[in-house]
Formats: sequence, C-alpha cells, structure tokens
Amino acid sequence: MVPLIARRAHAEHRLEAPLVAFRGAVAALPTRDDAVVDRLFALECLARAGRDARDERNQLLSVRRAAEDFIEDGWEADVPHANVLGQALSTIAALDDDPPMNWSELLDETVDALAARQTRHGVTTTPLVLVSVIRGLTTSGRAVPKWLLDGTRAYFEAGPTVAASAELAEALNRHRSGAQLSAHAAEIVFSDRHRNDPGVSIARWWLAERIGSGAAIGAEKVAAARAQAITAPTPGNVRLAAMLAEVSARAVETLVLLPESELELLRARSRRRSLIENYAWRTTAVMTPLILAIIYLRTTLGWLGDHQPSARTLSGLAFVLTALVGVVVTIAGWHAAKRLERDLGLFGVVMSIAMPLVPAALVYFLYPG
Amino acid sequence: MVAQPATSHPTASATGAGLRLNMLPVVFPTEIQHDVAYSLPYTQEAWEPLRERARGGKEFHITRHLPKGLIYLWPHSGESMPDDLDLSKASTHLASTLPSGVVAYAVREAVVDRLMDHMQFERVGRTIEGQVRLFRRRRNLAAEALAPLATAAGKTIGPETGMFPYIAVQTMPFGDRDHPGQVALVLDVGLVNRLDVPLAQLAAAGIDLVGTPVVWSHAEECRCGFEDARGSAGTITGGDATTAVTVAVAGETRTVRSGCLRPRVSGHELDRYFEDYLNDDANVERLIRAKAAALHDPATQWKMLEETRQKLSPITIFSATEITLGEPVTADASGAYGVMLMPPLSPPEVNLSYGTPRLFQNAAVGLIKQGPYDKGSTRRLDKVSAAILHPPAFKADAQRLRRALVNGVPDQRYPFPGWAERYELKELDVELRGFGGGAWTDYAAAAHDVTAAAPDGSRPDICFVITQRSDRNTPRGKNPYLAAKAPIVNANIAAQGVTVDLLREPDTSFIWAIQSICLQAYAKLGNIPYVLHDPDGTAELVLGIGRHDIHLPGLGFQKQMIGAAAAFRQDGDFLFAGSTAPVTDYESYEDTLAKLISDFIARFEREQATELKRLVLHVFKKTGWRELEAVERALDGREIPFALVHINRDTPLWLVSGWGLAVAPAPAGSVVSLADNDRLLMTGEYVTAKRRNPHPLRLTLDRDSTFQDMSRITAQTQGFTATSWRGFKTTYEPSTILYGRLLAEKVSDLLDYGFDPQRAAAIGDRPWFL
Repeated sequence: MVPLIARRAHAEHRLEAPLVAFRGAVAALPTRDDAVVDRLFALECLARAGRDARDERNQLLSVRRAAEDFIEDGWEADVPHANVLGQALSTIAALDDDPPMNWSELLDETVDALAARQTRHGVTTTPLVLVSVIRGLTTSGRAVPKWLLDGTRAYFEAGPTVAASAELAEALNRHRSGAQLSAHAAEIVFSDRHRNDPGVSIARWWLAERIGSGAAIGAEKVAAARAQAITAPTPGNVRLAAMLAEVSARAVETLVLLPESELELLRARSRRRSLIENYAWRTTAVMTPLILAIIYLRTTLGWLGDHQPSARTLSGLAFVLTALVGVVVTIAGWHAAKRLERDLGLFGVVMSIAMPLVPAALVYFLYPG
Repeated sequence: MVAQPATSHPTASATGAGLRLNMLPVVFPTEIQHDVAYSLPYTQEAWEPLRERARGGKEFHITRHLPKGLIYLWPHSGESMPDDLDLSKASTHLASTLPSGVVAYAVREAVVDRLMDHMQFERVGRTIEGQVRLFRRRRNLAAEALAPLATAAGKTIGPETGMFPYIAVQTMPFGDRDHPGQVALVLDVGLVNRLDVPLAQLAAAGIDLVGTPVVWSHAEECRCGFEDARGSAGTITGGDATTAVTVAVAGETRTVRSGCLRPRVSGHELDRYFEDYLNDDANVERLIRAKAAALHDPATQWKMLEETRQKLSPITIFSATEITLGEPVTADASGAYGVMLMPPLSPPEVNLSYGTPRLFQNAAVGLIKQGPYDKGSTRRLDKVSAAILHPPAFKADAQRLRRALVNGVPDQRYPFPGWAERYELKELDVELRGFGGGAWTDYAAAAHDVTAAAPDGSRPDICFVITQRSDRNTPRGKNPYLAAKAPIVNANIAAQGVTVDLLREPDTSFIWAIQSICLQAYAKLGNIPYVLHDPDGTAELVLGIGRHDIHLPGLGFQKQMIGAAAAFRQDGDFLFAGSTAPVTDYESYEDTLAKLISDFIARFEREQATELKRLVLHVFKKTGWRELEAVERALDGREIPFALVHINRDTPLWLVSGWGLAVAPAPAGSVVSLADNDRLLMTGEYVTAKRRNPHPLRLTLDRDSTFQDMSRITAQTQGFTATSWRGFKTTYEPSTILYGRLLAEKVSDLLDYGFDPQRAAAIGDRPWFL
C-alpha cells in the first residue's frame, strides 16, 4: 500500500482506513486494570489527538483523579511516585489545564532525592520511567538534570528500542536542554538498524507528528511509516496503542489510502493524459501557423509580392501546407503511441498515409481559386 | 482449692465457629487442695545438688523461677517427697499461689510421669525448648508397613528398630507466666526413627558409620568412663564398630565403647537399614513413606490427640491432686483464655513491574500477563547463555531439558512457551555439554571445564547440572551435584540442579517442574521475577536470620550454621538485598549479629540515600538479651524503631477448622492472637487445604522491641511467604528466614567440595542458594 494525499471530497469511501486504525487502537488502550502511568499517557495522546478522539478522551479522564489520589495520598519520594507525577504533569498540560501548585516542586525534590541513590534499579535503568520523569520536568519548563541526560545517553548506547526512544525523543524535545539528545533519539527511531523493532512504524509516525518531520527524518520514511502503521494489526502494547490512537485520529481528516493497483491505474491515466496533452499542445503549436497560412494564403502571397496568384498556385500551396499538417499530426501520433507503448499496427500505417494525403487532396480540389 | 479453675467456654466442636488449637486447658478440681509445693531461695550452690538429687524427676520435680529467685520442688506424681530430703528451711505454697509458669512446668512433668509410669512411654532425646517427646514401642509403623516384605524374607522386625509415633508434651500459661493463672497442655504428634541395635550390627549390615551422629546409650551399671553422659555423643569419625569407635564432639575426639552408643538415625538411614535387612531396595522406602504420610494426615493426628486426651485424664499432679484436660481451646472473636481469632489476611500481593506496580495474588499468572518485575530495566540480564552438563547416561534427559527451555512444553490449557518467551529474554542460547563418566569427580571436572572462558572470552551465565534424585543419599563429600556446584559458584556462575527423575516425568507433571526450574534460574541470574509489594510502608530493612543444623565429620560435631538474608524496602517493594555477611556458626552468632545489622543499615542508607526508619529482625530462635544488645549496639543510640520477632516454624501448636473429629488445617491467612505480642499465622497455599501443614507459624515479638505493631509484623511475615522464588507457591516460612537457612545449608554442604565461604558474601546479592 502506498499513501496518496487527496481531497476528501474525491474519495469519501477511502477514509475508512484511518478510522479503522483509530478504533482498533482505542480498543487496545489501557483499561482500569492497567498501570496509572500508562493510562495517563493514553489520556495525553487522546488529548493531543483532536476532536475526533474527544469521546475516548473523556472516557479516560477518570485516571486523572486516580493519579491525584496516588500522588496526594501516601506520597513517597520514590520511583513509582515520580513516574506517575511526571506523566501526570504532562497529561494535565495536554488537557490545557493547570496541575496543583506544588506538583512541579514536588517533582524537583523527588528527582533530587532519587539522584542520590545508588540502587541497581532506578529512574535511569527503566526507560519508560525515565520518559515520564523527563516529560514532567520539561513540561514544567525545567531543564533536564545532567544525571538524567547521562542516564538517557547510557540507554541509547546500551541497546535502545524504537518505542522507548521515540518517547524519549519527544520528551527531551520539549526543552532545549534535551534538544541534542532528542535529535539523537530521533535518528535511532528512524535508523535502518531498528527497522524491525516492535511498533517501529507507529513510533516513527507518532514521533514525526509530535516533533515535526525535519530534514533529518525524511518525509519518505514518515510516509512509509504512516502507511504501515495504519494498516498493520493493532498493537498489543498499550502505549503503542495510545500513540496510534493519537496519530490515526489526527489523520482521519487528511489521510486517504488506495490499493496499489488502483493507484497504478490512476497514475497511468494521469501519465497518459499528460503525455497526450503534451503532444497535443506541441502539435497544435506546429499546426497553427500552417493552418493560418492555408487560411490566409492569398494575403500571405500578397506580402510576398504575388498579389494575383493563380488558382493552381493556390491549390498547390494549400495541398502542400495541408499535407504538412497531416504529416505533423501523423508524426505526433506515432511518437505519442511509442511513448504510450501502443502498437498502431496496419491501421496506423494506413492512417499515416491517409492523414497527409486525404485532407491535402480535398483541399487541392476544393480550395477556392 | 482451685489452682486455676478453667471457666467453661463454648467449644468449636459444639458450635463449629472459630478455629481450634491443640491446647488443652488444664482443669483443677473445684474443691480445696491441700497439696503443697516447696520453695527454697535460689542459689547456684543449692540448685545443682538438688537437681542431681531429683534424677530428672524420678525422685521429685524441681524447677527454678528466677524472677522470684526461688527453687520450687514438689513430689513425683502420686508420691511423697523423699523422706531424707531436708525441707526444714523450705516454704510451702498452695498450688493456687504458684506462678503459672511453675504450674505449667508441673503439669508437663505430671503428664510425662503418667505416660512413663503407667503407659510404657519412653523419652525421645532431651527436652528441647520446653518440649518433651515420648514414644512407645507398641506401635511400630515401619514394622506394619514392611510386614509383607519381612514375612516373605522370613524375618521379623522387633520393637528395637523402626519408626514410631511420638507425643510431644508441652505446657504454656495463658497470659503472664510470673503470676498465678490458667495453663494449657499442648500435645503434638510426630514420628521418630529408632535403630536401637549395636553399632556392630549396623556395620555388618553395610552401613557406613563414619559421620553418623550418635547418642549415649549406657547399659545398667556401665563403667565406660562416660557413664554419666547423656544426650548427643557427637559423630563417629572412625574406629571398629565391634569394639570401640572414635567420636568427635565439640572439637574433641575421644574413643568410646561402641556398646555405649546408639545411632541417631534419619529417615534415609532407616530406609537403608531395612533395605539391607530385608534385601529389598525397591519397596522399603516407598512403603515406609506411605505409612508416614498417612500419619501426617491432620484428621488422623487430631483423632490421636483426642484419644490421648481421654486416656490421660485424670492426671495426678503433686501428691494427690487430680487434674483433667478440657476440650481443645477454640480461638474466636470472644477471646476465651485470651486466645482470639483475628481477621484473616488476604493472600499477599506481589508486584510484577518495577516503577509502575502491577499487582497479582498469583505470581505465576502475573508472570504470564505482565512478564517479570525487571523486564523494563536495562540492568537485567536478558541475553542468557546456558550450558547443560550431563554424563552420557543422561544425554536424552539433557536434550529434553534443552527442548523445554527453548521451545517450551505443550499443554492444552496452560502451555509453557519456553524460558525466553515467558521471561521476555532477548536471547537464549542453550548448549549441551556432555562429559565422560558419571562419578562425582567427573561432575567436578566437567564443572571446572565449564567455568573456563571460551576463546572469545565468553562463559555461560548459568549451568544446569543433570543428576539423579538418589544422589542425595550419597555419603558426605561425594555428591555429584554439590561437586559440580562448588566450582561453578566459585566462578560466579549460577548453577541449577535438575534430576533425571523430574526430566522423565510426563509432560503433564513436568510442565510444572520446568516452570519452577525457570523461576529459580531466572532469580539465580540476579534478575527479579517478582517482589513483595508494600505500598504503606516506610524506609524499612527486614533482616532474616535462619539456621541449618549440620554434621561435620571433619570437625566432628553437629553444628548450627547461621545464615542471614536481608530485604530492603525500595520504591514500595521489598527487594532481596543479599547476604553481606558470610555464614557463621552459632558460637560466633552473637558477635557477628551486631556487625551484620550495622553493615546492612549502612548499606541501606548508602544505597537508598535515605535514613532508615524501621528495622525488623526475623530470628529463627527465641529472642533475648543477646539479640537486643546486638540491635542496640548496631543502632548506636539512634532512635530507629525496631522489632525483634521470633519466627517459630517448629511450634507444636496446631490450628484447625471443622467439627468434632472432622478437621482440616485452618485456611491460609488465619491469624490467632495468643497475647498482645504473640500471634499464630497460618501460612502455605491458599487454595489447597489437603496437604497443608496444620502447624501455624508462631510470631513472638520481643517485649523490648520499640516497634510493636503486631498486625503489621504479621502481615509482613505472611507477605514474605509469597516470595521464595523456589516455586510459585507460598511457602511455610517467610523468605527472610528461609533464605538464611538455605544459605547456611548450601554453604555448609559445599564446604567439602572446595567452596570458598567468602564467595557467599561476594555473590550474596544473587540468591544462588535457592
């Protein structure tokens, strides 16, 4: 399948593919049984998905209360709380709302506390936790601390996955302190080395939509990812499903898909039409002076000093000029047929002889003397 | 006179409500009793001769009560005090004025007197922690089980050899033991193996006596030079079983007449004896085990308890006072006798996701749905290289293991998809490494080879060693699995033993075994399958001290080895934090405990970058001033609340539900309060009651603890029963204690094979000992 941008009015029936993808993604979104942080991420994606995802976004709004309860009741400066807090800040911002006053400071304090830890597992060893924390900081306009940037860099060096890298790229891109690493993460996401990672097409499309498809990414890769993402089976991973829901909902208005065969047919027609138009214009350009010369033969001869041409002269010149027009048309026809890979056969040969001679003969005998 | 009148309480057998315990309230007669007990001021000088004179209760009974500073004396049941005993300076006490601790002791001795004087019971070993075990030779379960074999062989099994049910007698006061109060008799049932035959006969039966623990067994009028010695005699290290053997005890070796010793036998040794005696290797073990299993049925044991209760009553205590035993105590909400049924605990929840808690009550289900706890972490080992070591005879078994690890095991309902898929490993490479021979030395050589780095510098992350179940019975120092494990663990490679007996089971049962193998292997790699979740906790360190009893032929005595394991509360989860201290013996336990606690606190605060807010110490033994002092020394004046908890897995108490004689072990999660610092907790599997141990764990909080929330301590202990990582089932004891015990056991087992005990500390962060 190959994407083709077209106007909605021309292809109503072809809009169903993004809708199907969106519905599939919505069905795979996290439920109440899933982690709060994943539900928050899904809510953020739906909040950024536009009006087509409004109902689904409203259904997920309850997670905001769950997150508030988790943060406000029994707060601890630990990884699970930092994880939820960071994502909650980002989600609330996506909902165009303001988080409670102290949340940003709370995240700052927690990040400082976690920075001092020397445990085997922590924020920087778990990429999706790292994403949430960075997202929370950058959403609040905070710079990403060095230890988190170092942790991110270490992750990229160790063996990143596309899905996590896409989220990191997006989170880092929100603040200039992370811009350089964000670009690096985007390169990872679109690199050929990771083309077979799970969810690669969704992650690429989502990242391109979130941060814009710059020169480093390449429009073609984005287009290919978009086409693959929208037609691939619905992902089992709830975060990839949320990403797909976001981008597919946004694409409902603009994206049309065609089967390749139909697209080829359309392309062939278009090519043919433009070729024929091209030859027609060229032929017309050559024929027009000749026809004008035939029409205004007496005047033309007058300009040349023969104010009283004989009837035979007129007939003869009209014959020649008409034959020339026929030859031009014949040559143009043969060329066009060749370019269109059409074999004109015997009919073409007959027509090639008839085209200059028949009109010329008629003009010879009928031209007014 | 009523010593301690037992008030009438409704019983579970009548109402069906509550849970019953094997505690039988002692009922004193309601009329005035004129029996007296005597007391003398306690001094060591007075105590020793009197104790000698009492002859273990044969002459009279004696106990000391240090809080009151008195020695109490009273006559052997139904008799008078010896006429020649000078009691002119003694005070007299009516039973009703005695501290309940003394009454409890007197009741126990009265029951023992009755069993021994009138019912032909014999003592089994020493009194351990207030418990006297007695058996009689009338019912020989081994003889019953092996009767057909014996008949066929034309032999008889006499009462001197066999397996016998024993009654464990213990008493406990309800409430404060230093003041008058009610007491209860606790009866438990178990099995004892006896081989009361001369050592020479055992040696003639082909039993290797070196390393066999022995107890003293003097004949009347024995003059061997050790005739006063009782109890454990140590371990045989050599000599001639027909005349005299060398015995090592407490680091000292002595030569003893073999006639004055008798072996203390394990089940395996008993099996070996009968296999030789009856010349039947195929059936003896199976028949004996089947008989033992039948006795372990809780309903059977409860029936025995009831029969014993009825046969015992009335019991004469002191000279002529007759007491009876009430119906078993019922724990219900009313709290009769102070024994109160608490709200049950729901199954513990384990977390299967670091950073974003995903909680499940069933770890196996959680693993299928969510993957392992650390799957999102970059720090886990997710590219695994494994080797399977096998002798030629087990090649097909090794291949089956490889197939199971790589491709899984099919099943219509619950297929196992393979190690890599279930644990979301990125790569799994399993290589078969055959070796010649099959002796323990061949295993050791193969293990050494596998630890050597390949030309590219790589080594396996884990070695599966194929052995057979019968290897367990090999003499100490010749066990193939341990011989292979020692060099592998020394090389910091995980080792996992798998027996061919398991590998030859049909898929329907093998599928469960392979999942436990993969779980253990995953944990041994240093990864985390799942953890105990504790959302309401604080910066807390839980330290478990476990014990393993070993026989050390080289050192010559039975030794208690102590292992410690810690769990740090981190990010709302309890993570295994390893054992930073090497395994220590019991003698140095007191010295190292303070350092151990101190080291763990330092490590906790360094790693977590936060101050410790609570310390919980799970200890296998009764806590006392030594533990208290160790904790206080480690805390060094810091006001950190601490709890010293004795986790008693050997309590004789039972907790059962049901009516009359139709009982079943109480449901897992049942909690009974015996006192404000004393709880019974039913552990084990929540779903199956059939095979559950009717003995609950007994949790006793030291009175000097500064953190005293027993509900929290009980729930936390129960939580740790879900995280053994040896299998998905909840275990009887919490992993804190279990790990300490396993660590001590594995270290002591591996010592004979060149294992460096310091390695235990070096690799202590991985549960290599599972």
